[in-house]
Amino acid sequence: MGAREEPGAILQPAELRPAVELVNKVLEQLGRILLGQSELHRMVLVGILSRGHILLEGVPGVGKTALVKALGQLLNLDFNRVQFTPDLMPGDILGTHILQEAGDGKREMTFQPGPVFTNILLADEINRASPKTQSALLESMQERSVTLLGTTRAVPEPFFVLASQNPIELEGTYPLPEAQLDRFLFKLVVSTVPVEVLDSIISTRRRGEPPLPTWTMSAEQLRQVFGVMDGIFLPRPVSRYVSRLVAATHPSGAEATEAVRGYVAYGASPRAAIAMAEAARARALLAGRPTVGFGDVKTVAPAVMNHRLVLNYKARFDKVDAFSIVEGLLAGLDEAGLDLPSDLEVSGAKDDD
Amino acid sequence: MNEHENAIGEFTSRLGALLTARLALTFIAAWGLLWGTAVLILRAAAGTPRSHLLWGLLGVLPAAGLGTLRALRQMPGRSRVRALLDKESGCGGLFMAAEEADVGAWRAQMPSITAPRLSWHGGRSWALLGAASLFVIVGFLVPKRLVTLNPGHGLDVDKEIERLTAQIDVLEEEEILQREKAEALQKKLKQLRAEASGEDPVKTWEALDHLEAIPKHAADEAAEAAVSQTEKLTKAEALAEALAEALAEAPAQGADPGLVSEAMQELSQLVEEAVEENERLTRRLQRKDLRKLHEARELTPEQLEQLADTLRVCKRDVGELLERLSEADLIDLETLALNERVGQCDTEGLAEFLRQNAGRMSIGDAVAQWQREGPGRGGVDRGPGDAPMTWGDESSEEGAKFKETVLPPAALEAMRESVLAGVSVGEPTVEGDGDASESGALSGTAAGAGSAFTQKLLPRHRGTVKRYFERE
Repeated sequence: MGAREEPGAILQPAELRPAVELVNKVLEQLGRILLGQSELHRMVLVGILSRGHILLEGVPGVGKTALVKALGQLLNLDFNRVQFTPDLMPGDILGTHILQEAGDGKREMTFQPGPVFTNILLADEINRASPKTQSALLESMQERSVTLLGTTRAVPEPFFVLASQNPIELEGTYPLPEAQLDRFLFKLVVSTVPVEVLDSIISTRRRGEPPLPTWTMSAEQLRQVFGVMDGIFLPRPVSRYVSRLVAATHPSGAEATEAVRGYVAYGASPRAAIAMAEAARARALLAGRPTVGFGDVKTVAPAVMNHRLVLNYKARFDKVDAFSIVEGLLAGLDEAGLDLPSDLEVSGAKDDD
Repeated sequence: MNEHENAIGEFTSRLGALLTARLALTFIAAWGLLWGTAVLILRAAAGTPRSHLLWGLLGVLPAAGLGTLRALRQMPGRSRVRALLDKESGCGGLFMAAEEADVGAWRAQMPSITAPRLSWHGGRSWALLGAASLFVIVGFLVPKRLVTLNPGHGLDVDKEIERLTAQIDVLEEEEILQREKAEALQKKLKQLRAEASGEDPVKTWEALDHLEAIPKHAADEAAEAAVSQTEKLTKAEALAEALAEALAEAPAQGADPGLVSEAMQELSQLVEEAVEENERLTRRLQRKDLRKLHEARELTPEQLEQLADTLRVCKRDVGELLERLSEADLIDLETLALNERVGQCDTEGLAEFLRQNAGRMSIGDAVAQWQREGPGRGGVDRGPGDAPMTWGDESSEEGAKFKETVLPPAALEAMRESVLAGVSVGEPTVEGDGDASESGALSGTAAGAGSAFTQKLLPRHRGTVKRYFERE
C-alpha cells in the first residue's frame, strides 16, 4: 500500500484499527521476548515504522543485539549482524567483486554482496570501525543503495540500520562523524533493567536466552502498516511546532532558550524536522490516533535531537548534555504558538495519550 | 461542531478581554506618566492653572483605545486557539485536523473541548497604573512654590495693599473719593498684587507709592477742608452763643438792636458759608431756622442756643471724620490737634470782645480779629500772624563767668608780639593803606637780587621768622 492519494482525508477508524492491532501485537511480543524496557521497545518500533535508522547506546549486555534480532524475527525481516572492529574494511560491509570462472571458461568479476544487503543490519559497536568503514554505510543509509565500481545496487526494502555503541571503553574508538550521526533517526539510550526484571530473566530463562516469538508479522501486513503510516495526518499547527522546535535549537533562533544560546554551537538540521515529523506520525499510530498531536512530538523530540546538537566547550565544562537542553526547550516553547504575555497564564493541561 | 466553534469563540473572547484590559491599563499608565510630567513642567515653567491642566483627563480615552487596538493586533488566530484547545482537551490533533480535513467517524470519538482557564496576574499592571495616578495627583497638589523654576525672591506686598485698600474704603465711605475712582484704585491694587514679583521690586514699589499718593492727597484735601469747616463752624457757634447770651441779658442791660441785627446778619452769613461746605449741617438745620437766618430776622436765645448746639454737633461730626482719617493713617496727629485747636470756642471771650469793640468795627471784622488773636494764626488770606514777644525764665548774672579756654601756642605767641593799637567797642577796622603781606615773605622780591628788604609780617608769623633768624 502506498501513500494515500487524498491529502485532505483522514484515516477512518476502520482503516486504522488493523494497523494499530498489528503494532500492538509486535509490542506485546517484544515485551514477552525481552523483559522490561517497554518504552525502548516502543521507540524502536516507532523508528522502524518511520523507516529510520536507530543508534542504540548502552553498555554491553543490556540486550541491544537481542532486541534487534527479536525485531527481525517478529517482522519477518532478514537480519544481519556486523561486529565493527578496527580492521573492518568497507568491502566487508558493502560487498566486493571477486573473479570467478563462468561455465564457458570465461573469467569475470562477480559481485558478492556484503551484509548490508539485508533488511535489518545490526552494526555492533559501530564506533570501533575506522571512519572509512563507517562512511561506507552513509550511502546505504541515506540512498538505500550501494554503488561499487560504477554500479548502483539497491538494498532490500525495507532497510534499517540499527547501530550500537558502547559509551565506555572509548580508547581506540572513532566517534561517529556529524554527517553520519545526522542520518540516524533516533539515538536511544539502552539502560540496564530493574532488579525485578533481572530476577525474572534469571529465573525464567536459561543462559538468558529469549524465547522465540509466538507470532510474526507477514510482509504483506508490514506493507499494510507502512501504508497506514503514510496516512497518518500531520496538522499544520503541529508541523509549525516541529519547525519552531528545530529552529529554536540554533543559537541565533528567535525562540532559542538561554541554554541553547550558551551551550550549543550548531543546532539541528532540517533532516531533524523531517525525522521528528515521521517519528511523531508513528507515535500517533502506536497511540491509535489518525492524527499527530503535540504530545507525540514532545515524546519523540529528545530521541530525535539529542545526537544532532553540537555543543561547545562551555557545555563540556559545565557538564551540560544535549538531553537537558532539549528538555528545557520542550518545557519553554509554547506548542500552540499563542505568544501570550508572561502575566497571562493558561492552566488545565491534559496529555494527548 | 457548533459546540467546538463556541468553545473557540468563548476562549477567544475571554483572551481578547484580558489582553485589552492589560494593554489598556498599560497605555493609561503611560498616559498618566506623560500627563503628570506635563503638569509639572507647565506649572513650573508657564504657571498654567490647575483647572486648565485637568483637560488632560480626556487623554485616558484615546490611551485606552490605543491599548484596545494593540490588543486586537496581538490576538492569536483561530487556528492557534484551536491548537491550544486541542492540546488542553487531549484531542491528539483531531480537533486541529478537523479544521483542515473531514474527520468523519472520529468526530464522535473526539473528547469534549474544554477551554482552559485563563488567569491574569495583573499586579504589575495595576501597580503601574497606581503609580502613574499618584504621580498625576502629586503633580497637581504640590505647592507652586516647590515647582516654580527660578522662583526668585517673592515680593510680599500684601500688607501694604491691605492697608491701602482699607484707606480707600474709608475714603469711599466718607464720600471723599467717588465710588468709580475708589473701584478703579482697588482694581489697580489687585493687579499690582498679582504682578508683584521679586524680579523687579523697584517697579512694584514705585507703583505702590503712586497709588498711595492718590488717597493721601484726597485725605489731605479733605482734612484741610474739614479744618476750614471747623473754623467756620466755631465762628458761627461762638457768635450764636454770644448773641444768645447777649439777648438773654438784653432786658437787664439793654442791647443795641442795630448791633443785634448786624450780629444776626453776620451769623447768617457765617452759617450760610458753613452750610455751603457741610451737607450734614444742611440736613441738621431746620428749614425755618435757615430761612429766618437768611432773612436776618431775630432768633430767640433758645433758637440761638439750639443753633449753637447744631453747629457743635456738626463740628463734632467733622472731628470724627478727621479721627477716622487719622485711624486709617491718612492724616497725621498734628492735623487732628490743629482741628481741635481751631474748634475751641471761647464764647465769653468773643462776647466781651464784641462789647468792647462795639461801634468801632463791624461784627464781622470783630469776629475775624478775635479769631486771629493768638500767636501764629497768620496765613495767605489772613495776613501776618504776629505773635507778641514774651519774656520769661530769664537767666541770672550771679555766678556767671567766661569759660576758660587754652589758646593754641601760635595764638599765644602772637598775643605776646602784638601791640595794643586801641580799645573800641565797635568792630575793629583796618587803618592805613592796609598793605599787609598778601603773598607771603617773597612778595616784591626781585629775582636774583639777594639784597635785604623790609617786609611786614603778620603777628602770628613773627615768632617763626624770629626763631629762623636766631638759629645762628
